[in-house]
Amino acid sequence: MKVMNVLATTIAIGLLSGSAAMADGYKTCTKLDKASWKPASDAEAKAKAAGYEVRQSKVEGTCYEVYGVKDGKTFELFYSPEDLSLKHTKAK
Amino acid sequence: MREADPGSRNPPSGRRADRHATTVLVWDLPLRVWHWALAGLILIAWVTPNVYDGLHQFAGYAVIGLLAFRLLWGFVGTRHSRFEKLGPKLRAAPTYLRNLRRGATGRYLGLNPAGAALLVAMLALLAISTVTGAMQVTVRFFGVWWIEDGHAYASHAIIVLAGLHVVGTLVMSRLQRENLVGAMVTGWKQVPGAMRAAPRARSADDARVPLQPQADEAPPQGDEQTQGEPSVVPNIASTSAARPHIGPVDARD
Repeated sequence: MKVMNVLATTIAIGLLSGSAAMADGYKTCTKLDKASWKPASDAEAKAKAAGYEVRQSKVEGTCYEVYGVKDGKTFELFYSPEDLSLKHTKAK
Repeated sequence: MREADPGSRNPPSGRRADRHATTVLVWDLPLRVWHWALAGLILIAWVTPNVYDGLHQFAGYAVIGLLAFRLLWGFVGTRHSRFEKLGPKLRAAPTYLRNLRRGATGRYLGLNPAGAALLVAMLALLAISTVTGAMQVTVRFFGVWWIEDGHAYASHAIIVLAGLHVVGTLVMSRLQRENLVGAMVTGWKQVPGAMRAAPRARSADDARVPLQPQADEAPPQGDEQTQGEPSVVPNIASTSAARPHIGPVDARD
């Protein structure tokens, strides 16, 4: 029994610390309440307008993170959901 | 689970004088280097995503190299590095895990069935994680959701398995009173046959009696099947008194 308890605890701790220890990069773009955010599709549209081929977008912290490709190079674009300003560009 | 009896019947391991009489080289040097290199790289890869991308990618490519080596070594390495015993061990794993709940640990020179299952799962997950990771940085697959998710899930699962491996090893070290971490450093482990040469046992037959499962907590037949799997349990030719296997180490404690 004890062995199984220890193993179960390990899995739990592993899962928790696994997600906690996942070091993350840029993730703070706005303090605005999520209910008032502009839609993510607007951020994607903005990236497209800037010449990027948009692969996907997701919420990263309080940012919209848009995966874009331009001139054969890959970028992660961080937009503020508050005003859709480009906060950060990361070349991958 | 019952605690191990303090008056251990196991001869102290690692005593220089009788080291070669009671211990045997189980993990060959390349396997040990592989193990600790992999442990270090997994640790690096765990703490570097998104922040230190260069280091993270280096760790991933290095792990691909280690995986290639391990596949090769699974066929040309020494006995306990090879994959040929994995099949029977994997089939024995469910029974082994059930018996583990009763505290029946069995005793194996190489990996026990749970360890074998973990090894196979770990190698598969490492392959998924590193391949999807490498794909992520190509223009073709950058930002493709199933590549991203596959990489994230496989990588998290690797950390969980690594944690399980560490705890499983420590628990087993305690239950069997053998320093298994040290064994992965030095390569040497106690010979199961030598463990039965208890001071109060006059012969191999005497030694056999206390090692049989006690009536009140006898492991079921399945346990015997697991441990009696002839192709699984190392047969130490040098110890004539050695039975092909022994019962759970704490069975008489």
